[in-house]
Amino acid sequence: MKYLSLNAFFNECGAEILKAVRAPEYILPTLILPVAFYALFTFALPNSGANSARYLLATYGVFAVMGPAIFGFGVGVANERDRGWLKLKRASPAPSAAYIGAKIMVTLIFASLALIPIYLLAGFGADITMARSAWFMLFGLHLLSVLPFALIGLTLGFSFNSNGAIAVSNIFFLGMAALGGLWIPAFLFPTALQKFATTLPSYQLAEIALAIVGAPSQSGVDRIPMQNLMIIAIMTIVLAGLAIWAWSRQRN
Amino acid sequence: MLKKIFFITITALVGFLIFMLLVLPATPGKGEAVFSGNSFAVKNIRVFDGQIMHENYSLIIKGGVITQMGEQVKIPKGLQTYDGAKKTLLPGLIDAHTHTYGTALKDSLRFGVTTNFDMFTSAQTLKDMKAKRSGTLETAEADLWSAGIMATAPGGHGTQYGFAIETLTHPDEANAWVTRRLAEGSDYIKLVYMPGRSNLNSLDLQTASALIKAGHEQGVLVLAHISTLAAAQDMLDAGVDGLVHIFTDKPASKEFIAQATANNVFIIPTLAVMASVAGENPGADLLANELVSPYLTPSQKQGLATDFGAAWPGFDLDIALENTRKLHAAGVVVLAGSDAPNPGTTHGASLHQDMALLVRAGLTPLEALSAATHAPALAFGLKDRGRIDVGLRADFVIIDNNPDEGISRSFAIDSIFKNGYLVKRERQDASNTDASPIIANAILGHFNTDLNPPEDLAAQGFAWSTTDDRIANGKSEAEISHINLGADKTGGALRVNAQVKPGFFFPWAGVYFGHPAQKAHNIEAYKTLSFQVRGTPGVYTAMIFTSGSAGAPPSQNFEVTPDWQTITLEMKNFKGLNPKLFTGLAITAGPGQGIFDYEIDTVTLGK
Repeated sequence: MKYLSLNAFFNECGAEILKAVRAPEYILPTLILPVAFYALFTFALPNSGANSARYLLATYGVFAVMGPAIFGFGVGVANERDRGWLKLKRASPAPSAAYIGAKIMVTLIFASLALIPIYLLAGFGADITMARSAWFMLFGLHLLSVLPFALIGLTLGFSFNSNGAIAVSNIFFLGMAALGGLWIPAFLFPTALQKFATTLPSYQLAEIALAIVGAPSQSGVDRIPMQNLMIIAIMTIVLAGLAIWAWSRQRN
Repeated sequence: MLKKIFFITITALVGFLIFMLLVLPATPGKGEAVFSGNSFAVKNIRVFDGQIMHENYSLIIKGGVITQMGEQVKIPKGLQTYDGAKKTLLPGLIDAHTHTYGTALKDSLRFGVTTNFDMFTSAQTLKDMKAKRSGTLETAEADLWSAGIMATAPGGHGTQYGFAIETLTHPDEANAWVTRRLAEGSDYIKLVYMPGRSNLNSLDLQTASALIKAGHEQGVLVLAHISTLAAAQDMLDAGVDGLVHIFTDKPASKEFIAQATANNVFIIPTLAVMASVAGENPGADLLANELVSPYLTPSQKQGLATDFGAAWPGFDLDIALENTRKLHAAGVVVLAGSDAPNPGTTHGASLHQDMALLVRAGLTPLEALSAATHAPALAFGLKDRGRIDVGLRADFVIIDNNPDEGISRSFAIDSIFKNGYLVKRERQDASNTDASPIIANAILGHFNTDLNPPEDLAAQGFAWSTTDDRIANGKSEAEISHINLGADKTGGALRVNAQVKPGFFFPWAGVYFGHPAQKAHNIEAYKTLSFQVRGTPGVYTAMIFTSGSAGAPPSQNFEVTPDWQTITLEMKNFKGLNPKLFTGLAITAGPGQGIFDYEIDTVTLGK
């Protein structure tokens, strides 16, 4: 059984990759948009020195993984559900964990692909130097940022049909990026909006990333990265609960 | 098949990722060679840790934070190392009383002042200070804590700068007032309590007390500006946390000293500005100091050259010094603070002078240094600075010798580190001022046929235009036009329609003669500025601008009447003017508010 499910998982992964290669129009924008934004804000705008390149590496890295995570799950799952594919899956012997697991694995792959050009640009274009351990930690954090966003996408995918999911995913994607301070630091927001920003996973992840690169906190007050880590862990657990709930609801 | 696709993809990707993360530019770790960034070591140095002096210490700084310190620290091979023989390392200095505008934070850092406690500035200034001070990025500016705008009564001290600030008159307003300041980003509350002054209104004692209570309930320090013993006593009774000036009217009473000690309040005597008020010209000493002068910008020099004008009644520097000495001797915490950029003081340099004045008041040199490092950090609850210790931010100043032998040694700055980065301390006197072209034509404008200056000046690029405080985010407006009937009924004149409105410290609106590219010109040969003027009666201002200066330009006031008259202003009364760097002059209405319509004719420089 264990062998079987692992086998199914690998096959599902392969199928997802193949799907993306055959229909690249779904995934390409989410890979190109973040690095294009990063290049624009780091190099094209005036007054953007090495400090801002470092700051933006932390926040745009979070932004980069949001696209594949929210859209891959939100739109992907809704599509497959609309076409009755999920029903068929449920009837097949392949375990549903393999289905979800493969989607997560492939999202991690695409998240990495979105991050790579940003890191290369930051390191070799903007000449950012950091401790080797900081590079690894930052990449690890950015990759793990997939989790909460994938869970949001999954909830949306289970809750809306494919048309609705595209619209709602966009709102979540753009809203969490902008209001979480990933494009423009949250300390430039009006006070009420700053308070709201702290409730977003994108903000919490950006805070941890900023702490890793040694950039200023968005909140202004003394930061405690462990606290951000706890908050994001709790948020992820809640989001997981929400995804499971949405899943069971659509099954019945 | 599908499985293969997955395995190939994942192997290639993970391989590439690891490769990428290994080749990205990294700051060296143990044993690797280094020479930049904010990780390094300091060896064989005398360290003043904020309280005590240690000989022959070594430190290791990583990522802008002190990670090891002591006599037995082993410095990893290859780590860039600063040899501190015969030098002394001090914590980055903290100026506990400043006002922030223009290049204040840059000027501070250039003199080793790595942190400023601001005691009144516009809320705009607070915008990103908290974010900046929490990080360890490379910066050319000192970190800032601020009270934001201060609590005062309508018509009280703080309202005379022309920009609207929220005043209070009743204790019931205190709580909401404090809440709004904290929402704007204020770190603590400063109130002005100057009762019984004929020329200034003041908060009453009930309102001041309510502010103190509100501040404490909302978890912040409340500080008071006072000028008399009686007012200081009132504030002590009301539970204030600190006084931002020493009083100079009377010697501190025994009761006051006992209560100040018991209440654990701190006092920022601001002796640097007190010396200036007393007419000691402390600014002149700094201008003459070879260790200081090369690092002063033209605008700092201008600020140091100005003074408070007439001596203030009831002001005695000796009482200020004596009160500081007594309070310190009784154990009251005394903090160094310059009150820059008041006349005769400037950011950065004046804090060193304040420490020297604390020594004159009776503190030892090390106590004075502590009053500018450890003591303010402790008093304001800052845990990441003010001392040299493991885990603290690598903000420090290295000076050439031992300040214990004389506080004036603190001027001999060898290097400054902020967030572990070496501050590029550039001399400010490099520009060759003799090279600027001379203004040969003494007539700047006769307005016979139009608003253009005489031909040769126009050819040099000069022009007449409007100027108002909108360039400083103010709200005043000016328009200029040419009229046919000038003074003495000959030729034409320049007409100004100005509306001076609150919105900036020193609101202005009027006419500007100058070079659009701010190119410096030499007007050294001229002794006076004259012009004919008539218009809405009131006090007007003439200002002269110089290249490289920021902040308030040298200015003189004059009165306008409905009849034509000739105004002649002496160049030497434009305090702090560098005539070799002239870029323009302005004849404006303001700082008084209202609508001013006036006409100007025949503007000349006289020899």
